[in-house]
Amino acid sequence: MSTLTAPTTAAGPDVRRPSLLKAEARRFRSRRLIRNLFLLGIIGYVATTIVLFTQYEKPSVEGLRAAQSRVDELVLEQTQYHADCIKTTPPDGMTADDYCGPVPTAADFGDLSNFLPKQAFTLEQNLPVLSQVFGISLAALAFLIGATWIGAEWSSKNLASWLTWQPRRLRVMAAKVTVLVAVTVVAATVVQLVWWGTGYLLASTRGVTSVPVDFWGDQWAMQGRLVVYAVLAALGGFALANLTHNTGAAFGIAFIYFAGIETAVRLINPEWQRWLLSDNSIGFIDRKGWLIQWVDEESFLGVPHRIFLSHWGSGLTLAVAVTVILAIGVALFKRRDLS
Amino acid sequence: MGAIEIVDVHKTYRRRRGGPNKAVDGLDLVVDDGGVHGFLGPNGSGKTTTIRMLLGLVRPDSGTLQVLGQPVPASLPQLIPEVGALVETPLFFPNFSGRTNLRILGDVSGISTSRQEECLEIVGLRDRADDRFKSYSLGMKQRLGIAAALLKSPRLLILDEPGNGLDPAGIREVRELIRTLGADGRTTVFLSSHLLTEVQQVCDHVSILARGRCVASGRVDDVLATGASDDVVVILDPSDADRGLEVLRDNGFQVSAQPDGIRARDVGDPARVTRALADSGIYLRGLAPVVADLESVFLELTADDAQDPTAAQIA
Repeated sequence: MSTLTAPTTAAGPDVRRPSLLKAEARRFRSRRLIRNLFLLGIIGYVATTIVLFTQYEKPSVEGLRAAQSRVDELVLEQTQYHADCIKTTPPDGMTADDYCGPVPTAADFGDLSNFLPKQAFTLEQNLPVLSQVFGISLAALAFLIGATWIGAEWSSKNLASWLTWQPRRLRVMAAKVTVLVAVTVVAATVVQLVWWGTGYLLASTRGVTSVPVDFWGDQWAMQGRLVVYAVLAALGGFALANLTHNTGAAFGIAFIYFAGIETAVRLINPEWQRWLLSDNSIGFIDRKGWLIQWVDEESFLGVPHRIFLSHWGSGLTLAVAVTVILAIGVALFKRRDLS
Repeated sequence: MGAIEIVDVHKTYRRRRGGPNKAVDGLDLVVDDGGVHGFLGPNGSGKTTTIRMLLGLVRPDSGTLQVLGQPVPASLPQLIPEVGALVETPLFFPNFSGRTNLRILGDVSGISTSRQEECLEIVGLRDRADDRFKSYSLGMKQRLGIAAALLKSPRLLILDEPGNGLDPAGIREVRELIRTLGADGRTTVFLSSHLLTEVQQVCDHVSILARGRCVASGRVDDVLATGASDDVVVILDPSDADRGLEVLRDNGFQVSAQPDGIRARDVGDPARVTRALADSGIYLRGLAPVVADLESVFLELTADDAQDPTAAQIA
């Protein structure tokens, strides 16, 4: 064992500017679990992108010609079948045209792209859907990181030790939330931008870049909402873990809520769906909002009941839910004795 | 201005089971500036709760607490740069290295990297500073806790059982460190410990807690004096032991045989003992006053549940 030595000076320490945010940022980037989750996310993104590049292909002249030939073959086959059908005697009460249907044409086989060996990547159809996939995946990751960010401190009882360095409890909590939000905003924005770039590259090299006039406005707005959604998810994970003082409990509550409570609510009173987090999540991140429909004995002539969840309404509902849980946890943290 | 002043502080924990637990019950305590002040008490006497209240982790139900002349917890944000603390087991991030843990604390309080390295050096952890905290032995964890408490060059250093987990050599090193800090004229060390000999060796002043109240407080020598007696141990030739016991008893002394001699209680003037024995032809080989140690004083003050809880403030 080495020898303890007395401090060399009794004077005050060599002082820099204190920064709780800097300390929290250092802790964030030093955490192995968070690093691994980020690494996992990057690997997942790269793997998905590689798969996407292998699954789409820009239609070549030869490919289109082959597809057209295949369509022509099918039309020919079906025309022959139709001609044979016409020669048969239809069942009683039916005409030959009713029985055999109209003469087949190429239009009956849909878009020519259906007969290509690989589909083309179209910005209009594929970019929004995959933006949502990446956005929701990141939100799930953000929930996990948010929960473990504060849950680890509770389980190691480090918060008490933290307060012997910065006794202002609200400031301690605000610093943690700020770092979490900042990192999530940056990560989600980067993911959406990178995906936008990747999608455009995919469309340029393996598909079609033409889009309707109003496409980009809706697309950017949706990607922006996905960034906000990731932040709400991160704060939701943080709030639940802070309330329960446990990362695992946060997951447990989330699971029980989505698997049990939401199902029960849909069965008990479908009208309450408007307040469910999953419906509001769809309403918030979908390009056009979310139309909830259900039929019951009160439905007039079988016409379903409808509730439309707009972007703003859904976003507000999600934000209020997260804020309430967060506020309760922070208020308890401010008041409670810490051991 | 005292380093710590506590007046009539009460704290009761409300538990879901078993009813309320009165941890601190009208505690009065003054710790003067400078030196090392021992804080003794049996388990559950309220030591750690008191320390937690001083650090703002636990709120008192009533009473006032002052640290370095400022009320706590209200003034803690201004005071905390001058207060270093190690409360029970050091709590650090288990997967971070010792050095990273200190870096984080350095960021919080604006303490330079060179000071952090100096503190690692002080506690002898520099060579293991990049190992993960969870891989440290209990003693190493305790050393890192002491390093963290020293980071701020505090005016008040609160140490709760700093010897936990340390081997005898480590305990001696910590004792020397505490003694040096207490003698620097700037730092007040408030040392909570159950190691009575440790406290006796290192502290200038001591306060003893029992059932949430201070039952004795003052200079260590003065507290020891409360346990002092007029008892002596009479050492005789073994062949005279039985007769000596009889002679002393016949002369009105309360005596009992002990392995090291005959203990005579409340003798007043020791010359009475020598005279009584000499008159019977028995000559002493030795006569030793019975010196109270902190352990016996501590046990005497804290063992009796029915004792008068009024604090004995010793000048």
